[in-house]
Amino acid sequence: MSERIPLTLGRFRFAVQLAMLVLTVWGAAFVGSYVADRLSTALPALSCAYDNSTGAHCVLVPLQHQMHHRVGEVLAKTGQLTLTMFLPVAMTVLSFFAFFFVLNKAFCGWICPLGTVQEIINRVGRRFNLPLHTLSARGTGRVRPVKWLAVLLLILGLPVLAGLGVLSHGWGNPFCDVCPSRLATTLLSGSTEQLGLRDDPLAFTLGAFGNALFGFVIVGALAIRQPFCRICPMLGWNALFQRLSPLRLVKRQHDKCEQCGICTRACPMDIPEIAREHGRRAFAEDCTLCGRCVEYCPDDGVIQLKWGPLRLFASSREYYKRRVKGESPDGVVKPLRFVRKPAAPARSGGDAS
Amino acid sequence: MPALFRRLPLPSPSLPLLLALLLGDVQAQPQQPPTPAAAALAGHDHAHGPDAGKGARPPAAPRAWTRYPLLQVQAGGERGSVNVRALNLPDASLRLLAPESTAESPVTAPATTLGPAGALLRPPSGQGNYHWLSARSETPEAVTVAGTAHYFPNPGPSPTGLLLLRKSELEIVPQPLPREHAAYRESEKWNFLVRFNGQALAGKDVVLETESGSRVRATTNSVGMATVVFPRDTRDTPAAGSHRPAAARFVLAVEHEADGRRYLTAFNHVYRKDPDRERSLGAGAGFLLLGMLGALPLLRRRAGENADATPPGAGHV
Repeated sequence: MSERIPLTLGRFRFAVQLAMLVLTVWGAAFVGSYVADRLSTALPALSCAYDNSTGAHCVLVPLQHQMHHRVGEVLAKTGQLTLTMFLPVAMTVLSFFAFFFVLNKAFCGWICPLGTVQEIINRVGRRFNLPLHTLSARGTGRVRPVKWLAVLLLILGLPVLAGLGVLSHGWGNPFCDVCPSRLATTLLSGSTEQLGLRDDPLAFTLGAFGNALFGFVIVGALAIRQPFCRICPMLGWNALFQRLSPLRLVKRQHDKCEQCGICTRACPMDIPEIAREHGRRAFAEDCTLCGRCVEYCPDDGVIQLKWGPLRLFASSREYYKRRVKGESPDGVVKPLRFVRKPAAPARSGGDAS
Repeated sequence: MPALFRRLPLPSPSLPLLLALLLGDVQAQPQQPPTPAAAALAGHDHAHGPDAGKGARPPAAPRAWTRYPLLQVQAGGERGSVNVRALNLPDASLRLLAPESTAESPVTAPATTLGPAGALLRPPSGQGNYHWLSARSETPEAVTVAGTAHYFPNPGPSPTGLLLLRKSELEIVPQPLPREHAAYRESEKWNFLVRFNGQALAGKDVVLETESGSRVRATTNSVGMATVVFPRDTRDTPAAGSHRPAAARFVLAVEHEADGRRYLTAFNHVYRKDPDRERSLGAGAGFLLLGMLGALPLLRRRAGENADATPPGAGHV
């Protein structure tokens, strides 16, 4: 069996993703019921606090809340720009960073439950040979600012304005109100509550937008890899800190890269820099450290995943040959062969499998 | 439904769950006097806007809606303190147990006698959120205990160990309590362990009475666990300034006789309106379908697009 299903980085990552999906959606059964039992309340992945059975909470939840109740409200009461405002925010960011330092943006590519759900859906799309739409370098460049806008507006700006009293309380956690992970994880935990829309006009509008976005994402993921990740404020937030972790993507210059481009085709985020650039610039702001570019680079040691001085995984021609036998760079999985291939007839020499 | 789902108090996430993640304290400042149930949740709720945190609400007058003893907890006049009153339990002594307590070293506030005006208490260590409050009245013939769990917005240990500590002869132990900033809610099933001298009591009737007038009876199973379904009977609208669903108080009581002494123990808390009563699932599903329809064109293959879905380069080693 091990010959038929070799261990690849991709399969290892998928196993980790499934384990993390269980932990982030139903993890309370293992870590405990109460918030104090959670792994963290500042996880760098969309582990939703609306899901009562989750094992951890996403950092964007307390950030919005602190912008709303701490920063906004304290700014409104001038003269209290002290620990009341900064300490909770600093504690959240430090808690987040304690996790982030270890795994960097691998929280997006390996841990995030919504990332895993989108990836599973896309595998279904590949299995049924649905079209795969990729973004050109230009298209990727156009989409990238959306996640920064989401950080500025949905995570920081609108909650602060709600705390200041400029906007109503309903704007206090606008990202959570539209986050597809809220719906994905609560539905996975057996609750339809978050799918329902409240009567209040603002809550109804935000909820309706969030539901439509979720519907678009789960169908769109059949034909686009990681559609929501490209605009996710968590990706933007993590990108702010990506140079501060020892885990990183390293690429050295190679003269074949511009003609090859397989790494970009393998990239679920269609990142053009991984093929064009080298050094720090190859580790682009959209990278989720999934490692597919390393797996699908056909040249030895050109792309590596490193943690500090440690080389965790490096591209190799032999590995690439093995990898494409099981799955093409764009994710088309070749059928597993569980039946022993019969011996080829002496006359034809053809493949009977 | 898988057993894993049944283990968890599933359908209780709500918007204010987010508030659980705040580090530190924000005091409540409602815009108008709260309902008794809302007042009992003072430690859970947050006010909004620039006026938040100015002070505590005045205590509401106790209102008898049950014959069982119960504790009414309201925000005290000072930051982090609570005012506790007992109903149907005269001359009781009050105890506040912190979540870091162990059987060997309980962490408690100084014992207080409850007078008509109640008692002002603050968390003994300033650590942890859920604390256990109990009031006890004792005669040679009877022991009456009222208990509740109160949430202080301080970071600290979870209440798992606190709940299992033995606190009186006859006990009702929530298994578990609602997660911080979650709540007991209408139509939900919740488990309560009934113990006497630390041993589970099987086949014992427990009675749930609600502020709205419902009365529900449940019987403990072989391991002393009673499963209670909260009735759909809340009528209140949320307090102004609160973004949580309406709430009502309940008391769960059990009686037992041993060695010629009668024991009565009650646990009281609040439960909230089923949020589905204020949400439209049909509209939500409609917008979900709308989004799905919006993505359908993506599933159409464009002319000359990756028909065989095998990119160049793959398999050409």
